[in-house]
Amino acid sequence: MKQENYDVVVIGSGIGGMCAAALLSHDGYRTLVVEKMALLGGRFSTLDHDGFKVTTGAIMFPTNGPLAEVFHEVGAKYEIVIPKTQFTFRFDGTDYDMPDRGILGQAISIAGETKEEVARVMGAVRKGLKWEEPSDLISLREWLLQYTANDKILGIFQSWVSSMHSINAYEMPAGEYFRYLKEMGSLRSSGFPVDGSNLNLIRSLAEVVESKGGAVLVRCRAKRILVENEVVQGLVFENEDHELVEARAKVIISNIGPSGTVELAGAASFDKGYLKELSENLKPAPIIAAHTISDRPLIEAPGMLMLPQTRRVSCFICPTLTCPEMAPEGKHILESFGAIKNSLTPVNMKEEIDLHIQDLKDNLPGLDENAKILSINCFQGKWPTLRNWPGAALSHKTSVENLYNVGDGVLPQGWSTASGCAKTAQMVAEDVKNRVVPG
Amino acid sequence: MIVVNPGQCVGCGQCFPVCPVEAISVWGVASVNSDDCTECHECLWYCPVDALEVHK
Repeated sequence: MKQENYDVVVIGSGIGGMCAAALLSHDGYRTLVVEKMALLGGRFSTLDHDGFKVTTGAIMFPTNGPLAEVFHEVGAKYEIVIPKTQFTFRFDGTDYDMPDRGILGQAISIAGETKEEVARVMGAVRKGLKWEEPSDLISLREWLLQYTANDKILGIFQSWVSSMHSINAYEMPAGEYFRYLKEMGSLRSSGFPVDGSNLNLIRSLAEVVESKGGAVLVRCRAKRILVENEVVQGLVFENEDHELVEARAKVIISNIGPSGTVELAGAASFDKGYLKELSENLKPAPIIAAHTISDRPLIEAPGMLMLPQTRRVSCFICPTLTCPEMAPEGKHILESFGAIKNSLTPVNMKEEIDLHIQDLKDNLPGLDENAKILSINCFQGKWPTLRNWPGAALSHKTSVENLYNVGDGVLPQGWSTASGCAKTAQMVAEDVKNRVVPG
Repeated sequence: MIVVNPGQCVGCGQCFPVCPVEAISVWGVASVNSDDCTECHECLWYCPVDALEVHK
């Protein structure tokens, strides 16, 4: 078998893996990234369909926080174009643009029936932020029902949680929602990559790895993580020519999710307690998402149009209003997202898809004549929106020494989305730098 | 011919844009129109869950 030597091998080229690879390459660790697909970026990528730039998952990125920090630290290009309005809420068919700060308060004041109700709910939110967050033993919905039964207000939180965390408000641990508001509330405006391509952001991280003597390989499938005496030794992978290669490494960083990591190393390599933690605390979060194309914009809101009164769809985003590069001239693309009825137990997906489509029809006037739904996508099981529910906070360290996980399977409390993935990469890179010397 | 393994396909939609002859549609789950498929096998490299299989 062909043998190669690296300091670090990263499995999977999603945003968590590429951030970790770029950070460590930048600090002198010779790094190899192996990606089984032909496309870099995983759920943080872009595909072309007849001139429409179709996201493979992630869509809007903040101009500060962990993602921006990683790009700036390694000197990779990170240019984000910000829509004129970040958030718009649709109540009873009318769209209300939100201010950049105090979004929740503004939405609640529109949805509230009386001043007292608004004050009651806002007072409770303020206490959760300034005093102590509520317990995770109740859901966000249960927490909220103590203060209001107003469907519009409940809908604000449902649409928010569904859009940001891919689960429902009745599933979201109440405390975690407040930790999220505190952590991610510090993120400023979000927008779209200036050329409309997530893939180009990933490529700019790949260039950092390559410029420092590392390699980023597509069409290379990880076969086995080598472990001896609970210490990681390297990775066997199959290259594009179907040859097996043994890449010896001091550190392996897996971006394929904790379950995939265990599969590659073999369960026998891990501590029993670690495996038990995974089997009890690893719950993928599913959503349904659709791409719809049209000759004219189907909505006016340039940022996230939140839908608190629908069956399933929680949010529309029409990136071409801000970034026309994402479609052929004069055309538009609209992304819709929504959690499904139940994130844990199997549901009737056909019924869920029908409800998503019904929401599109009811909320996008002119859909039938002027637009075409390109595809209805489900993110679930082995390819979910988030590999773990918010708040689970599995460690980025496995029980095998120098074998780490990054990405949305191991998000720290309070973190979600691509920013959270970048945060895990920062944590792993920091730990590697403290423990392992390159060369 | 390319066959979608229904037990594996999650319906993520990544295969449909990469098909050069638009033989793939995704409506909650992927399906390949065998009349249009030219067997280029490009889609196999874009499936994250290995749900596309070549049947002889």
